[in-house]
Amino acid sequence: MGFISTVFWPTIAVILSLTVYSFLWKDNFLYKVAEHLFIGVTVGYTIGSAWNQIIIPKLVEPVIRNFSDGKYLLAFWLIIGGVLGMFYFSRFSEKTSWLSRYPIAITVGFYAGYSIVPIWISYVSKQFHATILNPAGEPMLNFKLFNVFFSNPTYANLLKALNGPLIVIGVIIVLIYFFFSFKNDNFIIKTSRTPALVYLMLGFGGAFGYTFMARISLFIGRMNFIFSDWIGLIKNSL
Amino acid sequence: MKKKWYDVILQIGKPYIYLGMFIVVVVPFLAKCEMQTYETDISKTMYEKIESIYKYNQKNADSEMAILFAFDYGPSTTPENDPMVYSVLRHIFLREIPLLVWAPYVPYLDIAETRLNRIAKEYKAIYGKDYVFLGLAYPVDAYMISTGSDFRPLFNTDYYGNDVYSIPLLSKYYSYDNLGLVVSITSTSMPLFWLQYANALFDQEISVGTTAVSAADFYPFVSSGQFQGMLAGLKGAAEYEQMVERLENKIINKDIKVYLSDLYRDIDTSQINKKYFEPKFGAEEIQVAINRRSQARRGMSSQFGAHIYVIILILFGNLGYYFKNKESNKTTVTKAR
Repeated sequence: MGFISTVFWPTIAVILSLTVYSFLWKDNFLYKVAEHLFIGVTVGYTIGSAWNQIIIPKLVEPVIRNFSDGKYLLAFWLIIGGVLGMFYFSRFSEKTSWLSRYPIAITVGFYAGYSIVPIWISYVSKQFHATILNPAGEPMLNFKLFNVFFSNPTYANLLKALNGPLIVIGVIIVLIYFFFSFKNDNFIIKTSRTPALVYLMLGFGGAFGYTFMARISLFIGRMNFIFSDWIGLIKNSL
Repeated sequence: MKKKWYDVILQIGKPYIYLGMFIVVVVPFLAKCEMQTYETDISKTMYEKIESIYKYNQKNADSEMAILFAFDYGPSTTPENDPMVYSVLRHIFLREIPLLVWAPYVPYLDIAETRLNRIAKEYKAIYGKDYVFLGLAYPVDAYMISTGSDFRPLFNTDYYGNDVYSIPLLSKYYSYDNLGLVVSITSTSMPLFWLQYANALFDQEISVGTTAVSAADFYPFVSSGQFQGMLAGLKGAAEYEQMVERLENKIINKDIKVYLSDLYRDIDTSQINKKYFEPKFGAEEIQVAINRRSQARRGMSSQFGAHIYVIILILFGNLGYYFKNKESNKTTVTKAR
């Protein structure tokens, strides 16, 4: 049993990892096998776990408990939720598919209504506020910081002085770029296009760099598994 | 016709480029290169926030603050998120801050349980007293909203089936009122939900550890102070690992191998519930625990190799295209004449 759990399954995991990476050479049968196995196992595991972790402990057990405790109203409340959830399955038949609109309407209605205020606070008002004042409560366009830089010209002081104006200018010209994307001969709109594109490209470049780092991290993770964990296990077992 | 140098460069097959990538990633890894990394302000902010909760708890023993830790990631991003989890959990357990943990999706549960108990074991933390694993918080927005008042009725039981009202830690910590911080370690857009439902509605402070792919999306919220710091990808994890290592050396003040070997040696382990972890360390387990303490930093040396390799490829690729275009333009002009 020890051998199976500590060596056999990790070895299968190594073989499957290498099989998936074989796609880099070219598409092949073994890669397809690993791909289908991955999807099948994921779906099977999720369904099994959802039954054990959601349906039973969050619906079946509370209903039984509430009935036995005499809390019938609570039990019915849960049953109503369960029945509404079951309506999703009505989509399998054309005749009954209209029933699925009820849970969808309740879910979309609730979130659309409930999310308006938090979304406004998070994405608009707080972000708008942060473009005027930094978290320390100082103005973003603080030209006194340039005086500090000129009296003590260090790299850190330069960054401090430039940071706020760069953010404020960037926000304004990128907004102008998107709002006035149609042909417009206004001087400000015309001259702000190239700097706005530079801002956007810098943003995309940063995002690309991070994406590359993320992909390499995943590769490192697999190599860590093969060269540290698995080889260590094999050495110890032999 | 003899091939020009740029033709050779532009025709290198993809498999050879991947082979090169394999070598630059694996060699530093096998050579066990570890990189010291500079610590950015956003990682330091998160570290300082947890330190401030510790200081608050020291001064206010009767109204201590807890941390709610959300495992918002799945198996596909464990190489990036695991080192963050290990170092942040180490920090929390080292500072003995009460800890509540949940996971929003079914596939995240096993990951959360194993990582949590693994680190709890390294600091002799007691389940129910020092930490609790609440289990599945699905749908997560309902749980985030209910934490505004009391999340216990939604959970009923913790992950292990214990009644939430019988767990000592949960008699005190069940709403944002007693939570000093929410930490979301994620590979998804979950921090945006935290932002909307916990931060915007209940003024709850949030720190985020995210995969590098999502980091660029969350930067505006760090700059605006809506997130209390962020760990961005493996680099962020390496920074935090470094800071926690310094703290651990200061607090434990002992070689980690010796510390872990002695941890359960002289105590009566029959009092410890073995349901959550086995209160002993084998030699192999100690080695793994030591390796995990520098997992992100070892990864950073491979990252360094991979980044240099890609920069070289971009440079050579562009030079190749430049000279090829120049040559073809010259040929066109000559033919036209």
